Amino acid sequence: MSFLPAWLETLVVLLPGELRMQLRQRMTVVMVLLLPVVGLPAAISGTAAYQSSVADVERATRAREAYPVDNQLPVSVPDEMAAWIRETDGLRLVPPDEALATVQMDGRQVTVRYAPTLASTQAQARLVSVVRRQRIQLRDAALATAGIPSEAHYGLEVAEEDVDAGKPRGAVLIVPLAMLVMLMTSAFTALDVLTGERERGTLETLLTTGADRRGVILAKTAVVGLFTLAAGWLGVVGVAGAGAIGVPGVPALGAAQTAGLAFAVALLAAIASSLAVAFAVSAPNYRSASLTMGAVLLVPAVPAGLGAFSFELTPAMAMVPIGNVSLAARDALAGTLSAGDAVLVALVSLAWAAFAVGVTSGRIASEGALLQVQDTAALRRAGFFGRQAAGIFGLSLLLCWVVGGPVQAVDATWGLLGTELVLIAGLGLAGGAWVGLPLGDTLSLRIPRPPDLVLALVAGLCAPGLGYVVLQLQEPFLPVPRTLAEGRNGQTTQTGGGGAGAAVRGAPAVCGADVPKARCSA
Amino acid sequence: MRATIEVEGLTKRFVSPVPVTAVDGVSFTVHAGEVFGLLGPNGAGKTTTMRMLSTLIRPDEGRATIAGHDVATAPAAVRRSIGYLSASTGLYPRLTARELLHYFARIQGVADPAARVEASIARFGLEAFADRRCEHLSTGMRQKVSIARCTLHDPPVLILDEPTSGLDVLVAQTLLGFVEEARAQGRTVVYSTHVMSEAERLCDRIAIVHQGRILALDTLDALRERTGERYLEGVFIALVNATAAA
Repeated sequence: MSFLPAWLETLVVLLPGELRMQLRQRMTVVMVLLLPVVGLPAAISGTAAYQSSVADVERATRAREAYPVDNQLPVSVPDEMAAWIRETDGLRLVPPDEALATVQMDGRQVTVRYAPTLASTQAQARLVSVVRRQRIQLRDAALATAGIPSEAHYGLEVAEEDVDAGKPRGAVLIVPLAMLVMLMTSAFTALDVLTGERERGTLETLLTTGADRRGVILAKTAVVGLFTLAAGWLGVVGVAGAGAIGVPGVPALGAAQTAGLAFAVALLAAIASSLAVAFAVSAPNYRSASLTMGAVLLVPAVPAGLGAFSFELTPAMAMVPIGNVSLAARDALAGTLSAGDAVLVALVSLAWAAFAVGVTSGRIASEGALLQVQDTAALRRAGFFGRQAAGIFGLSLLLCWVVGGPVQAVDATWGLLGTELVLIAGLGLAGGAWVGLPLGDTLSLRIPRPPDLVLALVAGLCAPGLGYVVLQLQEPFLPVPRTLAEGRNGQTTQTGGGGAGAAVRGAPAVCGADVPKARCSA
Repeated sequence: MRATIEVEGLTKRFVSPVPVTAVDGVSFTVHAGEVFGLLGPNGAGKTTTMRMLSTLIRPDEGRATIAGHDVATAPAAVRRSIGYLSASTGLYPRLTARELLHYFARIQGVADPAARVEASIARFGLEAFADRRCEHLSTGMRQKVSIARCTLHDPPVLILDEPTSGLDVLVAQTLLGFVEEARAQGRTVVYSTHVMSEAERLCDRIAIVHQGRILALDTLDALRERTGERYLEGVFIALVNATAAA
């Protein structure tokens, strides 16, 4: 093989050995086979079911709040309307100091003022419902006076159905969750072939041989990339298989969709493996590498989740790494992705992947990067863990600040929940890093020690629940502007006389098991 | 006698986590068939010197050549000329001893790697555990495999950085015997240790290293004469105290 350049010769010699060593690692089977093939479809199905259940709880909560059990509604309404309310369902009105919504009547013109908070929009919906019913009663009375049967007014009966409740949500979850799986696989592999080798002393052994350094770096990067790609593709196979056998929440994929998804996954694998290799090389030791890597998984997971929201794949969004693939995959699964957009996303992603590989190679080639070893005690003396904890918490705050706001604007409930989750996770990780808890082993899945697994299980169970509880507790404390009661602020819904219907914003589906049939508004 | 290793003004500084000059202007030469000892306490700069010689890290100042190749400008040629072994030198835990030797024989570009590996297994008595994974080998077995690994390509220079650290007496004896054999074969050996008895037994010349500098460099007899101490331990302490007093 003397005709080959030195780096390629080294790569050819090293790669089979590296692959063999990784395949003999038990955790590799979990990361590359079990996690994508079984874990990914299960996560998609479970998350879709969780989303549906949260949506159901939200609907039920809105319904309960719109029809309070004690029949109290803090709104400010004219006396005439108060009488209507008392006549229709006996709702007791609360003095309007902290009104959630106000109603003003000027002849036939009814104006409803409210703020863009959940409670206020619920009160608004409730009042609009009362106005509508009163309007129907007035109309029927007028028709009866004229001797016309009320049925003559409507040619059709209209029934409303919330189709969102039963809609399969799994399609938008494929890319974000597949990205998470690939990030975990790449992190695990990179930690083992780079940071782990450095600490075991095998990297030192390798670098004192005649092996070409560039070849060594390429072989390591190739191993990480191949395992990441394998995890991604096996994940696609797992999702396609789960969809074919009808696992709830997992969409059935056609051949073209599967192929498109496999291509998208390949693009993401290149970026994920480059990031993992860069971090594994930069970390001073295995412990801090595994800890930092766990927290860093959150960062690429954010753009990977863009497809789950209502962002459009515009040319500007096509420039966002990882996020563009998420949006394109979502559109492709819905059958709305144009060929031009697909090509643009592919080219941009390839450019990002090349950039990531280039930066990583440059970092690895720097002096001492491959052999930088510092012991934990020295790091602690130098204040490394304190800075690391501050960095992790700062990163979570930054994520909440920069990403949380726009996401909340799109979807208040999920935005708040996500923001709080990031904050709680950031706080927990920072605290763990600072006091030296063995979180790194759990986060990296390197050593599944029972205490770590218990910790991970508790954190996993508590974090979403805690976030949701905080969200619910926040609601009563959301400030209701006093100016709302004075008619100087907030949004308005106007119901004109005659046939013009009210534009009800965010009206909840109030008919359900929690709401007495007689009180159903629609 | 021809010098196989020439070191002149070698210096290395680290900036993280605290700035320190690990090796400060070290100079020496080592001849073919000589065992040259670097003797000093932990943190003296022995390992950093070894790492610069084996091209793992680059010197900030100074120059070093091994078998005529400069460590800074021809690192690949230097690596082909050396066999490097340290206490922290690891073996791939998930490969068997035979697989590992075959892997490194291919990396080193050995002609007919299979034959060379079998010869090496026979030479170091590894037959009984050659097909056992390295993670299941005892410390002594691992060190034997490490020695076989670093001599697979028959290097003229051996760089051994505290190779007996953590080994029991019997295994350490095997390794010391190997070093003596290497000298008899005409190989050049650079041997760092903080164990005085090893240096006394093996080294033709000894450099006493402290805080990155060579305090003295000579044969053991000359060092004894210079300090008036009989044992190497006393020689070392006398030299360190003399430096501190100065």
